[in-house]
Amino acid sequence: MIDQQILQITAAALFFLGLAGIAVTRNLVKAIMSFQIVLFGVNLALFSSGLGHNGPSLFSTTLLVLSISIGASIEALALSLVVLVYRHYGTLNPWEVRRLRH
Amino acid sequence: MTPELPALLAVLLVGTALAALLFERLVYSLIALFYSGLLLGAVFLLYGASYAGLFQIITFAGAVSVMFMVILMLVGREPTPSGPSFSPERLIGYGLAIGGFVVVLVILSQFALLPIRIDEAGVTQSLGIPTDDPLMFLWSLRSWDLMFLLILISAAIAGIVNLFSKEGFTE
Repeated sequence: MIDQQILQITAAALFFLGLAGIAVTRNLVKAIMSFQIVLFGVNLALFSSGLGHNGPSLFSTTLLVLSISIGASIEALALSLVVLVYRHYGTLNPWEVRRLRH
Repeated sequence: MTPELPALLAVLLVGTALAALLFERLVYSLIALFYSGLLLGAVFLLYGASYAGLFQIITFAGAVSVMFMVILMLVGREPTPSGPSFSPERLIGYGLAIGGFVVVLVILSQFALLPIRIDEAGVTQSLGIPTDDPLMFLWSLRSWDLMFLLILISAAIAGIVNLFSKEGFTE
């Protein structure tokens, strides 16, 4: 099995692992951690799609750096929202937050 | 390069990600996530993408981990409510994830068996796009992506401004 296939299967595993984590978790911080795992999978897929015989292509590496920076900023924004939610509702359980709304 | 090292790194990457999801205490999850980011950076470095690998390590293993730690110090007093193990939404979540993974595996194997794969070098050669001009390259191959990205970023900026304005979200 060539390296590209190994990396793509790893990327798919990471993506769906993170997706399952987002679906089943009862803690917003854990949900953001799962989102980071999804992001790792996406980045790895982006990287492995441009992998040729002579290393990664410039194009996929450019998009990878863009994706890393955008993902990190999205996580920072999500964590700031988590702090706001905790101050407002006093809990981090999304089901509780939905029940306590208004 | 022998395929053992990437396979080992891939197994370790999936293992640390799984550990990050399965730990009950958030601090242990954070430590596993830190190692996961480090391993992904090592994969990038292994294939010669040194800039992206170092950027990944600096961003995710460094900055985002510290940010998570600060957030855990602010809000992490309550334990993770685990809930029942086999509630319907959990089963639906696991089922969706496993089903999606199987679908992607099938798609991946089909594409590997196809004789003609769309590869980037062939497309650029057939379209006559200069590869030494990055902006032209991006615009001619991924113009929709760039436009959607611009729309997404402007929507995010509008959302943030709305959120932190006085008429928006109030504590």
